[in-house]
Amino acid sequence: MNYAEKYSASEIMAAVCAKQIRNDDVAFVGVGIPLMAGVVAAATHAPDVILTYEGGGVGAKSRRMPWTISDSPTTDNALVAGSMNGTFSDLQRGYITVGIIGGAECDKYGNLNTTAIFGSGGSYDHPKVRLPGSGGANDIASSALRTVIVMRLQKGKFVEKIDFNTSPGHLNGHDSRKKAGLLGGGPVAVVTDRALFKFDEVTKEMYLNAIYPGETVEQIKELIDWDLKVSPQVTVMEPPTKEQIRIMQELDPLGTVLGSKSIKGEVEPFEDYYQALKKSYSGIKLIIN
Amino acid sequence: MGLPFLPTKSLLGSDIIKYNPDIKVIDDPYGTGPIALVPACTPDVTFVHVQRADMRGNCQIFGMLGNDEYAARCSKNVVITCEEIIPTSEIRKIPNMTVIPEYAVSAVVELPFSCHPLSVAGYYWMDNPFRQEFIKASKSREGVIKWLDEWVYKLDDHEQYLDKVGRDRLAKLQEMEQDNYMIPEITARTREEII
Repeated sequence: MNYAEKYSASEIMAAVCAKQIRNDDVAFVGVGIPLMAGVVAAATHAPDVILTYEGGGVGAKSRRMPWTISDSPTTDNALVAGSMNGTFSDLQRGYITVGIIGGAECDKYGNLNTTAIFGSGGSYDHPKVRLPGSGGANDIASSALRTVIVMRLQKGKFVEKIDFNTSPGHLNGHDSRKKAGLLGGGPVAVVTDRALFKFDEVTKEMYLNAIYPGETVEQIKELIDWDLKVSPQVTVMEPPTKEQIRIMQELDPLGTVLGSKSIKGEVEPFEDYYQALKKSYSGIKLIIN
Repeated sequence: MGLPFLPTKSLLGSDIIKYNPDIKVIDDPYGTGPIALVPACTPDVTFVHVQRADMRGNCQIFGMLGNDEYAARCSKNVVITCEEIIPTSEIRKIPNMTVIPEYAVSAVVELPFSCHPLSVAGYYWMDNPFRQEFIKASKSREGVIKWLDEWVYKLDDHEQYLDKVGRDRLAKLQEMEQDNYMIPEITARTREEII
């Protein structure tokens, strides 16, 4: 393999996430890293993957990066330009094989919080941090045949108990998802910027599956609040390939997604945006079949 | 839809049910186990922006539909803004594109670029730097108020807003969209032509 020598935390996260997507998947992707992962998968090992978006776009082939789930590139050369109700009905019907979602807090069963961090002495009504809420994440977590979680690995984010369960993972483990009446299979992997986690087939508890180059098992364990289980066959993840990085940088030339620019409050001058994006899509040759 | 609620297999097992008393979980009377009921949303007025509409209010959308068809139908009053008004005869050429029919519409306003800074499929792409400016401003209450004064309250109308954004900038956003996708030309064919 032709591995990239230099890559950012976001880039390896997107590359590892891409590998969770199979060629026969119908993937429900959110914007940001999940979308980048979907696009990279489609351009490399999974050319037949069908990417679906919350706004109703299904199977787009675009030279542009959608900035939101209802942005116009979500239906460029698409198979379907449908409705939100249609996409979510298809999700509940069981057509979506993999959903990719993020979270601000995650527990050992892959339950996610994107609603509110209560903080000490805080509550739902008076939280320390109010987050955006579910969006479509709860539906994806409920009904996708399997889900992949994408989150940065930082101290305090992987906790014993999340303040608010926005998107159900394996609830309390074992068969508790099924008992609650949920249709989908729940999370199969947690992709972070430093390690990859998977879930035990019986207990449904999250365990360390692979560490990224330069990390140690001890370093990873320190960042997780509970006593993390480690696979006896823990491996070192291969770095992103040059091809994967090239695709990401081509679609996101200003690092808007990969550099989290909007979140950081950075503003690109309009002329830079116009020139860079025009150059980016003009240089991409689409294969429409 | 005219229904008081819809059942869903989402939300089960989550804390959304715990904190939102409007959502009820019942045992499905038809035997599939727990199911959540979500009440209907019934606004007084809905604003929907579409690509094209006729003077009677028949609205055609190109690209994804989002929630537009239901957002319009759940509301007492519906105001449509559109990129362009087209004759009803054009609507009739491809009725599959009509998402909101005239009987669901209260008013139609022709207002090009009124989705800016968001995108309208086939017309203009998203003005991401403009959104970034707002995101930056929204880090504080004062920032939002200042932004609203500058971009909403101190402007007379939509034309002044577009002038302030810059006509050249809008043309570039249009180019960035239409380089990639446009509504295909719809031509009515005769049977003889097809054969």
